[in-house]
Amino acid sequence: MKNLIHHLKRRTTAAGAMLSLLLLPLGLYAQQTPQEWLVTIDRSLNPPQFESYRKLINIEPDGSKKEFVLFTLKQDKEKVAALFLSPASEKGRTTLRVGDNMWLYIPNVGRPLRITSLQSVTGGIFNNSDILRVDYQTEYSAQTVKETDEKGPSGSHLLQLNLKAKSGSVAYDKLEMMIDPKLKSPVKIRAYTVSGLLIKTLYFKKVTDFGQGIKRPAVVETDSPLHKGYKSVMIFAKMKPRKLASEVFTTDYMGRIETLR
Amino acid sequence: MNRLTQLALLVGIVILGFSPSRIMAQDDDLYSFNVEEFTKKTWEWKGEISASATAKIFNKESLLYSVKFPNRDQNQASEFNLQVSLESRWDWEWSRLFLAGEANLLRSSLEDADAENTFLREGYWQISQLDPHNVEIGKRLLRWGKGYAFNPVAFLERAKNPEDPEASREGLWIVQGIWIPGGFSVFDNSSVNLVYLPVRDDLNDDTLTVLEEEIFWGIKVYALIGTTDIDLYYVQKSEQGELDRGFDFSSNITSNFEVHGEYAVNHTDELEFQTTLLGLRYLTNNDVTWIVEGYHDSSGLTKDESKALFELINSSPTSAAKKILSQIQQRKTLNQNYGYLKASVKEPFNWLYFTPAVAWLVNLDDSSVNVNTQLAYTPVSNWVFQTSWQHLSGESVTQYGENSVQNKLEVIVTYSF
Repeated sequence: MKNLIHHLKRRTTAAGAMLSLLLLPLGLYAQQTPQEWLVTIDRSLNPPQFESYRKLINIEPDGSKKEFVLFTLKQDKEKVAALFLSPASEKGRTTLRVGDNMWLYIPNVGRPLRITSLQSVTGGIFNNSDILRVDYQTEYSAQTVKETDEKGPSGSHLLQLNLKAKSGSVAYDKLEMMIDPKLKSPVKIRAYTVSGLLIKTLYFKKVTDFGQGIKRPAVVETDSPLHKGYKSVMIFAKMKPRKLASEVFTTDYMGRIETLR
Repeated sequence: MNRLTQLALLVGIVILGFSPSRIMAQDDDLYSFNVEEFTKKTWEWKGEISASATAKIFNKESLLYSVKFPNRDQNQASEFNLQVSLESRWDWEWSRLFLAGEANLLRSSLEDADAENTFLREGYWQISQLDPHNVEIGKRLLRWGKGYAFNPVAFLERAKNPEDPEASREGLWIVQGIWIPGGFSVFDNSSVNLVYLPVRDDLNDDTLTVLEEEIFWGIKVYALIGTTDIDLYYVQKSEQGELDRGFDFSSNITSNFEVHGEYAVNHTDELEFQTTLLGLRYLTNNDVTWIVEGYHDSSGLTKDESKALFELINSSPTSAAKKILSQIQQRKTLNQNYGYLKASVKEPFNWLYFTPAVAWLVNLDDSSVNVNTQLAYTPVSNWVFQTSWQHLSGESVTQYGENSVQNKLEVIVTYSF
């Protein structure tokens, strides 16, 4: 009798384990809190420390384009530096972000100047907070997450993650992040002002394997109802983890960022 | 470095620099990105060529006009200026060399006003072994301070011209050590700069008015506290036993509003002068950037003193008057109090690629005004087309009212490569 009970117990446990394994993918989505989803998205978009090259293209309604190439370094959740490599007129310009602080260094003009998140060093729809993007969790609190009827590139129903700015100094007050749960990647982000006005929509495209465990959209496009007919595109390349000294993310180092390429 | 060597250096950089690989092909595919083109090379360079045509209309009532043109035979002048500037960087991993030079050619309708010059703007050697800390030796522009039009704490550099704050300036020969404490620091971001600047015959002797031989030691301590940048400055003149001190700050009050300030105490012999600057930058919702600055220099002339100076020009023989005129022209500011206001608008009324700007420079002591209206147009990458109109006005015996030029119109075309 004792053996029978023991046998039944073992079989029940094994069946339970099997069932748990089968339901795991569903359970993962259901169990993750909004904040956990936010952390997952941040880590999916980039490793905590990395370097990458980016091309920014501003497209006007008549189809004319302006292109910029940047070399970017990021450390921890809120330190980003970007160096302009092209066009020649911008070459050597460096932007640095440490939390809410942003500076622009123009080699000929002078020392690092404070800039704001709402300005844009490249013009176009991307502002400085888009170009010097820190982890979303640094600036936003995740409030709710819900499944939508819309389907993502993987075929799964998209999740809508609602984010609220932690302070008034953040560029957008509210974000609606549409996530493909299978790819663990945003597909679309709608950015709103305090009054609920839609400022811009960011579209994440071409999920690419950059190697060393980094798989993320290689293209981010944006448009804005405030600038009808305009579009800006950001293309990522050569993204790879890179450890750097914290001294690199200081205003005195801005003139030397280009030596780290 | 003599002029011939500087010219040879500049020409060398140009000749070596033109290679077909620098001419970029246009991408047809929107998402294509040939990143290999941008990987780091041991030697990299960039250049800029700018051509400007200027028309100057003289103020024939001005005292300075009568000194410059004793025959009173000039109503206006036209000038053509061609400027080529080149920057080059070599990176050998263990050290780096930076060179930036400029060549100018000026042709004027005025007699004896034609000029040509070449000079090394900056040229320094950087030791990379100590990275992120740093030692630099050579000609370097320090760019101390946070102000846009004025920099009271810029003790060891050529003064900025508030009429054209973004104009490039020539550096001074220095040795600089930069220490960035990083993780050891109690602040979010900090650094310490130590500067050695010698003044000798033909070395830094054209800028800093000191004894024939002097050694300047300067120290700058920087810290980021919250959202505020703070610098402390201390400059010691070894031979004269004098010192200058100062501080500056810059802080973002909100995401579109920045305030900054500088304070400097300059000791000269037994005198002490204070220079103060307070300013702000504000970006409005409709993309207008406002820069406002107030400047006070206790070593400047009072309204009565500058009035007396202009009257002295009027009563002096020509040679003495020319000497006074030269002294006035060397000073970027003449009186004690100035106000600066600049408003620039990004693409107003959907005018694509246009950035109009107006800058008012006001001498608050004599109420004379220097207004500069600019229009920049950047239709394609690397090309900038600019027009500007500068108008100077004021009562008699005031700084801008007595300026020999009353109106200046300028068209500039700049191409970067």
